[in-house]
Amino acid sequence: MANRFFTLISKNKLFSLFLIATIIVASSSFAFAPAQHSNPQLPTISVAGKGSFDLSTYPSLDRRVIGLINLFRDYYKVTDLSNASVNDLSMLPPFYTHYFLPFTTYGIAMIADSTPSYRTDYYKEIFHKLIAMMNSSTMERLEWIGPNFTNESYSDIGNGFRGPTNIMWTGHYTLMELFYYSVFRDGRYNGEIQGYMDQWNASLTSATTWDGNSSGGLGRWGVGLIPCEPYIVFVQCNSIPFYAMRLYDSLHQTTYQEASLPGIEWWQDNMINDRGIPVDGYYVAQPIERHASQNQAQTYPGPALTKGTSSPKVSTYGSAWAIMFYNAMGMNQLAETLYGNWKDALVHYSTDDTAYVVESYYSPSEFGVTEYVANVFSYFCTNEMGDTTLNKKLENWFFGPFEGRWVGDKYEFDTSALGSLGSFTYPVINFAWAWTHADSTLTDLMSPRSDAFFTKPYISDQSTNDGLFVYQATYDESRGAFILTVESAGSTVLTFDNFPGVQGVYSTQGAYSNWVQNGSQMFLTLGSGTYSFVIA
Amino acid sequence: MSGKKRNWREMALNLLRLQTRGEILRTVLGGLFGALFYVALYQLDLPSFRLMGVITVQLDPAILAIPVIAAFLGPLAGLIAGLAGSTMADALFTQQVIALGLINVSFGLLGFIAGIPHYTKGFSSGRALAKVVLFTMAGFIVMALVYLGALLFISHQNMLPTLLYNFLPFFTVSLITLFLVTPVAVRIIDALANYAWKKHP
Repeated sequence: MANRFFTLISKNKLFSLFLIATIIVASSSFAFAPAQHSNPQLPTISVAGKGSFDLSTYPSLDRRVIGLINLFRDYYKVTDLSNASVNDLSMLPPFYTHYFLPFTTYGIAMIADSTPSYRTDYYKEIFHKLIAMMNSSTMERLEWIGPNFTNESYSDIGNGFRGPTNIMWTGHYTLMELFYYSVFRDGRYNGEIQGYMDQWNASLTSATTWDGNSSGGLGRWGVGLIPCEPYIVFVQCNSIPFYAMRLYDSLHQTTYQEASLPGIEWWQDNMINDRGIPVDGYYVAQPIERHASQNQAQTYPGPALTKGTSSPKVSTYGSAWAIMFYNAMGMNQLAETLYGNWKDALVHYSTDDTAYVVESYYSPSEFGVTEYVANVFSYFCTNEMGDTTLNKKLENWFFGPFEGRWVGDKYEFDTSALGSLGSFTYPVINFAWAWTHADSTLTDLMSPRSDAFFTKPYISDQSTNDGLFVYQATYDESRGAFILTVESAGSTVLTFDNFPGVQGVYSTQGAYSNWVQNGSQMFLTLGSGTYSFVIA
Repeated sequence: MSGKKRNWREMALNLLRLQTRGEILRTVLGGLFGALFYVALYQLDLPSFRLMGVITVQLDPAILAIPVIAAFLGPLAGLIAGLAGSTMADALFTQQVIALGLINVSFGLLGFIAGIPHYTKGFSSGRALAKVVLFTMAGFIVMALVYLGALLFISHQNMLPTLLYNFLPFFTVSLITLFLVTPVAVRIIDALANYAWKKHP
């Protein structure tokens, strides 16, 4: 019978040819598909006297996110923190380096916050490097000296890259430092943070404007916002210090955020265009030559105009950025309204399951670096807004041409399909995936953990980072138990601090015995494998 | 005159396989069955790898349902399988209609063209299978043109993202699948059907 069927199949040559070809293609697609690793199953573990713990209810990281962090740990080649250089990021166009460094930091804050009791150099070092790079003279040259912003002077306020006339840099730099404090409760940057809080507060509450008029309660620039390029204010740039003020207030029980309220009112009244989207920039005084030359019809005070038109400029990335930060600040209704308008105006549904954005609907046929930036911010924004449907469509589109693969314990998306554009997009595209798959959001980071949490048990050191994947590390304060899911390639020792009197390390198979107590420290030794533990 | 009209009508009914009540039933139900098959396989994502950075090597079993149904049951069944299948998949999984539904129409056209020949002698000869490949490819070319044209000119998509992110992966995966697997699938199903009905191959 089988024999007869075989004859029937093999009888014709053309068929055999196609069959063989199909088998070759099918098996090669299986054989050459890059190997993927699945995430560990999160079990329920019973602990005598404490009941059972369902580990899947605690935050956890995707293995690929950790793999991408492993990639980025080596990507920043800063050796001297006091004299950092951004030369190692020279593939990024100068204009975007000051976005890439802070937004990478925000993403890493969300990722580190997903395993809040894993507070070793593994994550901390990346913050130190990123903050040092942001503060480097290279940054100043790219962002301030290069575009000639040094020539302007605002009477007694002066003018400086790190001063009160550049909210872009001070806002991002402070929030980078503040996230570091918030997530690790390490106060090494507190002096600088305090300084910028006071600087912004002075700018926003000044009774007179920079040119000596009455501010009308709207601060030095008369609009409740602070510029970052000479004489122009942006909604998105100011969303960073406004977020930082609120986070600072909840960490220190202060009221800095009050200084932001007039500006938030003001831009809603003056910086929304006919489609309900925040416009991209508003000139508070005569534009400098560099800006004025972009549009001869530009007037002031007034919104920045789109090149070659009399319509205000729109920016998909700028508005996506503003919307997600306003949402994370808790102004959900405002954010939802803007988000709806933003989607209507800017999202293109490419096929039934993919979508992308262009940077401006005034130039829908352009596609270059700015459009990549727009798509990355839209990808972040949809995630922050909880719009999983659109987020997935943007992801399907955005990551479509890039193959994700493992190289040892690093994960990467290969962007070579983009040719020369690939070298710019490589760090951006890789980082974007990690950001969007953290188990925490900007909204979550807005409610920092209490000081008491940082006196509770945490992992303070690991004997090696090689092949170590910390999926879950959360101390459950209410139940007095440490939740840990970890993969180790070889022998690894984890050091726990603030953890005196450990009763036991429990897994689904009962007690695990390879640990020792030493005063308030506990040392857990792991062999090769993946472990889920409740330690109490 | 009326005889000629009737002739046209008969030719059309013959082509569409709507000549008898039984044939109508088989065409329509078969087409819907193909559509269901398409929907059922839609989310099956087989492994893939990248050749030279841009060419995706992967098999897509869902799209196969369209030319296979068409080869057995004709152009109308193929049209139903493609149009109804892709429309149902959109309604179920993505809630998005692109380019006024022209993308779905392009899937229908694939089925229609692939189903034009009538294989009265079955699929055991190499000649019949070559014809299957030929008409499937003709359908695919029309489909690809309508697909791309709809994206660029009807929904006014941006050129680079459309080509690089959307059309190229779709084109390479569908081309490989339709070209290689359609004749294999048709022949195997044909042989199984013959065996089930105890016909001699």
